[in-house]
Amino acid sequence: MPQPSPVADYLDALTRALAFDPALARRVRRETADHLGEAVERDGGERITTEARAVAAFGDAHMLARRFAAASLMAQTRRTGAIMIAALGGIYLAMKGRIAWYGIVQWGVSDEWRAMNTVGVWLDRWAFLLALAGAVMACGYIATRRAPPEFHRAYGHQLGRCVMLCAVAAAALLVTVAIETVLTGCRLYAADFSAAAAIPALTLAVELALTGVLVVHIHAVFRRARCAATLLDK
Amino acid sequence: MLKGHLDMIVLAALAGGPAHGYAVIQEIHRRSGGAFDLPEGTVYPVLHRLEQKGLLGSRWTRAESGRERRVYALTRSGRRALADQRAVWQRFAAAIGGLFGDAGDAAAEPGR
Repeated sequence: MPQPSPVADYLDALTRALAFDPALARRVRRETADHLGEAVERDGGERITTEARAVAAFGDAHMLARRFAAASLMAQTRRTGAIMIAALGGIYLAMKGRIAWYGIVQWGVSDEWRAMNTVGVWLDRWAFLLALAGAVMACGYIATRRAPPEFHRAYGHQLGRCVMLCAVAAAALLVTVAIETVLTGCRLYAADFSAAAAIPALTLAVELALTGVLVVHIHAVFRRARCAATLLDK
Repeated sequence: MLKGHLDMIVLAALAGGPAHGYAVIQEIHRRSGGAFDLPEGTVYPVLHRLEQKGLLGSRWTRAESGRERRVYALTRSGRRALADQRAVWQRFAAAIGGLFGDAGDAAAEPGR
């Protein structure tokens, strides 16, 4: 039967409490194992008693996790804001690149698709402007937040607002990219697919990839913030 | 009160040179004469936060015991931040000292 180890139990509890950031949890676990190992060595008493003493002196695992959560979630939210700006810039360049390519290869819109193209371009422009406005608001809000020493409910609500603004911008961006996909698909279909279609297809792939990365990041921040919020109930 | 000054305390504890978390908390305990009796783990979120701000650098090393250990050191920005905070604190302490000195004098001479 394995011997009980207060240090091992504590390390497991701390790792679970830090589940909102797996990389951070791994690093903190290694650092804490070293700290508690050193404390036990220096104490030099009976093992289980000294381990229990070292754990008690280290502090409550959930209290520590709440302190780590504040800075960790702010860093992730800021990273998401930066990714959002990069995605918007990348998508804008991809759109402009594709339009420039249509000009170079004299690739006009067929009469069959002209009406739909006009409406699509109008919707596309407004959706992109909405995404831009959402991103500016989200980044402004994120930039004016400061991570408190410890995660608390009000801070959780602030992070929720950051995620919501990012989600609004991402949703508008998804609409933009969906419209771009339809419009580009119509052009490629009408042109019977040629080598010149590689550039529009590539720019569209870039737009889809950037939007995908952004959505994945926003989802990750949302999931981590929700996971950290459970620390407040413990 | 201590909570608001933890960053400065940790920076000050690292002013003597690179150290790992356990050594930082021991140094705080030693230099404060045991006045700052913090839960030992509270130093780690501060170390991580200061590293994110670029005031500390860190790297993994191997201790004599064979355990892996993360060693932290002040960066150039960290030294500058510590010097700034020390100057602010000294001005604040001098101002409070002046106020308490006046209060002490007034208490000593109630008729004044």
